[in-house]
Amino acid sequence: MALETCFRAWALHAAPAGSKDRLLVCSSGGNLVLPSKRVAAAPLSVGRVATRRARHVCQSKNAVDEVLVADEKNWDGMVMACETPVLVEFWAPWCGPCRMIAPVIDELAKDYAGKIMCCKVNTDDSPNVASTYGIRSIPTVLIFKGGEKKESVIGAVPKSTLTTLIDKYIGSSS
Amino acid sequence: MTSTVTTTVGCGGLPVRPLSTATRGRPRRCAVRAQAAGADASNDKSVEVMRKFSEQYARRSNTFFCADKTVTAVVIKGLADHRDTLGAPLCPCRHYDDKAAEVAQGFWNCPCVPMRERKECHCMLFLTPDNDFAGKDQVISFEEIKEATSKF
Repeated sequence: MALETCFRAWALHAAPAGSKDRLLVCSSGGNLVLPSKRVAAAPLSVGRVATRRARHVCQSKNAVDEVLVADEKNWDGMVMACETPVLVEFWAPWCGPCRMIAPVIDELAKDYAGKIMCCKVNTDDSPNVASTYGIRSIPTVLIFKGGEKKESVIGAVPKSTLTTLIDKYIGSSS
Repeated sequence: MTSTVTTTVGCGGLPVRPLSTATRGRPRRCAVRAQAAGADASNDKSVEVMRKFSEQYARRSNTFFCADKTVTAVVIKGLADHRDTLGAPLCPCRHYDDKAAEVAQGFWNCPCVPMRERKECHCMLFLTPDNDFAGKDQVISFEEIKEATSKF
């Protein structure tokens, strides 16, 4: 019964690319306590109905393939507490090179969905975060792991530069 | 320059300003439409000033605009905004703890010191011919800038 309900929830969110992953996640949601890693990555309120739990899991899974907006309010909860590596792009509205690199970050969020989180910080809106990490030149991309800043890349760099950086940090966790 | 700043401050005054302005018998300055129109016109003027400066400086320094002209347009708009709000075209591709202090210091006022000394422009506004991103243009129209910067 729980499994059947879970299957229906999965069907509602079905997409060719991620169907297997979603099925696995839903099954876990229906029958088992989720592994702590996933719980940390996608915190859930404990619900009586399996459908609700499954739906949250599916939605959280979907959320990981787009660039999230990080700011001073959600910084600690979103970036510092994240168990996967986090790529953060610092940008400003009238920075020309930022317009070039934004589509690259979008692609990376999709390419590495589930393996890293991609965020962006508007330095005009969140000056304290930018100052805390010594951001001077824009765009700057930082990579965090375990709540610690690991490396930074300055300027509008090619996608290959960023994939090399990311692979270095997702590789070391396996 | 001083009069421009004064005008800008007048147009973008604090909520208190309209009242005191009315007291002095200049009601037109109070109208929201007039303020908005004034601010727009002032910024357009700054965009035009920075556009002309950019074209002139590119020619003088033998540098070229980015192959992707939206990059050029966005930077020029950023310089114009800073000219309006700070009185000088502070580089829009940097984060500052104190913009007013940076303007006073001048290091990052466009053309910035790295550009003047080494032709290094991290904004990609002025690119040396050998740069991978350099285009062939040293001109950009006001309309190009308005089109590229109106969507955001």
